[in-house]
Amino acid sequence: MKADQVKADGAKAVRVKAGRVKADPVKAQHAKGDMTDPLNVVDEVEQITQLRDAARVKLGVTGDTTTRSLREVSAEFHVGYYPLFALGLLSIADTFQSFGFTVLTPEISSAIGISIGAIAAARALQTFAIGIAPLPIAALSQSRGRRAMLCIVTGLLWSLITLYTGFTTSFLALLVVLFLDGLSTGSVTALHYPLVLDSYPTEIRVRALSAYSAFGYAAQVVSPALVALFAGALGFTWRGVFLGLGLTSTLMTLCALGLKDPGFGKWDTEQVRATVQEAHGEAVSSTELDDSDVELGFWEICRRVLLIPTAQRMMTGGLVFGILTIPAQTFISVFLDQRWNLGPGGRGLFFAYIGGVSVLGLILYGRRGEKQFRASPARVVRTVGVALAVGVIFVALGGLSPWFVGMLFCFGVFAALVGILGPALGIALLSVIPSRMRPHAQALFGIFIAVGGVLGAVLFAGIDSRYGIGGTMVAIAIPGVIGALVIGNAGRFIDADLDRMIDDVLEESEIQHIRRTGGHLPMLTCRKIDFSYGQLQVLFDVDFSVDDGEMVALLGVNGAGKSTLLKVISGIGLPSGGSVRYRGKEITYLDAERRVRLGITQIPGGRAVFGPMTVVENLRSFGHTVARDRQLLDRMVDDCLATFPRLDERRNSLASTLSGGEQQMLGLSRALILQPQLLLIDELSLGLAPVIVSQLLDMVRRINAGGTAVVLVEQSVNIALNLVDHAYFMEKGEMRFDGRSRDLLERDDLLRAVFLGRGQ
Amino acid sequence: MGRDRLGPRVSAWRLTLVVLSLVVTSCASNLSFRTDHRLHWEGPPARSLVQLPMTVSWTFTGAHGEFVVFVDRTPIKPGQTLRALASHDPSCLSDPTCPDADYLAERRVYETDATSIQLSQVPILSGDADKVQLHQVTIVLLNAAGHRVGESAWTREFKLRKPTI
Repeated sequence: MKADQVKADGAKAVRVKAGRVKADPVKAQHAKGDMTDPLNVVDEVEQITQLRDAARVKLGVTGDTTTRSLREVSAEFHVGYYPLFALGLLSIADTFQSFGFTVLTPEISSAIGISIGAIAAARALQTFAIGIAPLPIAALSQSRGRRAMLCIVTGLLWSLITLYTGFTTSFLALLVVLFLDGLSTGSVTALHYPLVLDSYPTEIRVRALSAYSAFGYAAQVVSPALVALFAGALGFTWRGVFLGLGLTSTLMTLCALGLKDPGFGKWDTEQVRATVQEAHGEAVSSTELDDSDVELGFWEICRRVLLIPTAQRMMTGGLVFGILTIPAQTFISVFLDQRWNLGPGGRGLFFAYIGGVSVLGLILYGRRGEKQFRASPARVVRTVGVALAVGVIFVALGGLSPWFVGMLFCFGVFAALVGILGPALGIALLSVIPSRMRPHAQALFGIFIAVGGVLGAVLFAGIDSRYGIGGTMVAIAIPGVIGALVIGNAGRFIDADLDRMIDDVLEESEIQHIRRTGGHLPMLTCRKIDFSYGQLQVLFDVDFSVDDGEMVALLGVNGAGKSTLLKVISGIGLPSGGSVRYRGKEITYLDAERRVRLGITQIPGGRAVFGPMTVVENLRSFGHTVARDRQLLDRMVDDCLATFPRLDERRNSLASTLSGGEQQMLGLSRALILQPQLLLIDELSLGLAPVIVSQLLDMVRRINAGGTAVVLVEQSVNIALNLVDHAYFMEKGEMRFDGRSRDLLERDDLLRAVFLGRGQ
Repeated sequence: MGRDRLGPRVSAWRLTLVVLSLVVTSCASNLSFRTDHRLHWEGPPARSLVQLPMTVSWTFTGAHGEFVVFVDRTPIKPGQTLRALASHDPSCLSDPTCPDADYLAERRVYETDATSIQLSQVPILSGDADKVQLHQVTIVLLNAAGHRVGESAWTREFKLRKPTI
């Protein structure tokens, strides 16, 4: 390996290790004036590789297919089956209300004189509530480990609602109970999978998820059996059935009272952190909660989840899967009724058979899935794709089968294959999502499936009316195959996303280590930033850092990616990869508005003022972000006008009537009002006369002298390098130089080509 | 700040309102929790394919008032009279003899004190493209004053081939 290549690779690796801190060779050279020993860099690369490999093992990806038995692993880590049992019971109880309505709607309609259409409308409202409820539930669980409590409380709530359903006499009451039931069952979608994942070591997670999913399919047997018991053997009306279901649900929820929240990422991210701490010979300690200043809000988390490539593909696949899976149950019922003349009892038996076959499929899949995940998560995703594609082909064959047994066999194969999708998709999706964000990912995935379900209902209703139920069953295969291709495509990204998550955790742990050992952290660190405008990637693996009080120049020609990098730092643009840290805290996905409050201000290029407003109004608007007190605002505006006498003269003029230099002064005055700790200035000198530029640069120097770190984006090398000691140079979206300004002046290979005839 | 102080109080009010509305809407007597087995169907067999005209027949154990047979429609609510079927028809409501048998038959409702009725026509179900359509009849009881008694309702499904037009 060539020495400079080693150095380059080493620089990137060390950034991963140290969160882009002083260990960066270029910065070390810049700060200390000595050369970095390539051999040390090689050692560090090896150390990082070892850390990452160890982290993958902690996350359950060992590269081999050896697995130990559930009992062995449970005994070693002292984890019992209770969390699985408790969550499984809740997932079964969750189905009672919906199943009761599915079966008993005609009886309810006749008994209380409410049309089936009205009940169907109330059910639609319930479906809507089920679709949206996981989001608020995820929001409730994001800052504190109270997922278990939420599961129990919502379980009790839906049990009471099921009980109460037996006493409803009006449409309004039905509407309310169905809506509340839908809201309360949101905890199942949002919280159960993440809780299972955090309750069991990574070595047995696929089996744990499979077992949990088996409870869900067992509900297809338990719910009809209970309804048959209450309505048949015990002779209850629909009211009695709901009372019975409500009481059973309450008892099952009470069995889950011992459920405890194991904490976020107990068996994965926390273990990875522990690996880093052990590597440094430190005592393992629990991670502190995020600083509330940089803790992501609900929508910020949702946005962050949707930026992960694997999650994007999974969600899209989920949407297509929803088109198939949600209407399928309805159309299969109609198919059984019309094609095979099966009444409610026969159909109930059919779905119990389907549930049983799914459980069997999960039992067979559990250990195999574990092996696949340990070898490579991409294999799990590919298996999902194949299972879905083959499964829907069997649905089509079942729809065409002239023999009842043949139809049963085909639908059985479909059920067994589709049954494994839950745990397989769950492990694949959630393993690349940080533990605190998993409820959000689950909620979003559920919404995508629900949206697909609505689309599917419309689509298949049309197909049914045109081609009949047989044609519909065949048509169901089409979205299935498309969904399989989309989900299978996610396998291309999952390894990289898993590494990204590992890098994030390693970086966080390293930063904590640096903090604990009193090491130096830069004010701003950008690590391996990738950014795309749609399909067009414009930043590639960009590293960038700024120290407290430092003034750096970011140079490059038009289209090099300078302004885009500023957008990523200020939060106007969100990267598709990499991280942005401010004072050691990750702010990559924080809203731009919150970054302003943290002390990061950007002055965009091209006269960033509000043209239709006066100078004073512009200044007040800048200050509004930090101070609502009118007197304080007036004082800030006066101070600003005193600094820029030229603006004071034109204080009541519209900003659009100001000259270019005056507009840039007004833009720069934002820094005086907001008093940021980090000021990002984009193209300050563009199109201005030298004398104006000189005045503005004086002001920038004064701002910097006051302690504000400044990033100056410039095309003019002369201007920038006369002002700063430290410069970065970008070309075609990559960082080509990071070092002393005077060293950049000696790099003809960089400067000549791009500034020929300009700065040099 | 003020909003924060008001928050729990407003939530408590909302919760109380929801609970109250639920309680009020469920304040009704005569809720049936056990299945009423007094009526037994004699024909047609459940989900059988029949032809028009057809006879719907049943037996009933114990005293009864009038039977009302609803074909492919939701019965009236417990406690209501058949005039509820004309609630959106002012001309019928202004006529004390309305609804009569013809009015009801037009709406697929048949009142009888016998234990069978003959159906000579059954509506084609809208929005259903299938050749064989599933229909249902529902029987409820009326007392001497013409009010529906309790929540008891008995339903039977049968199939009819859709006529070709």
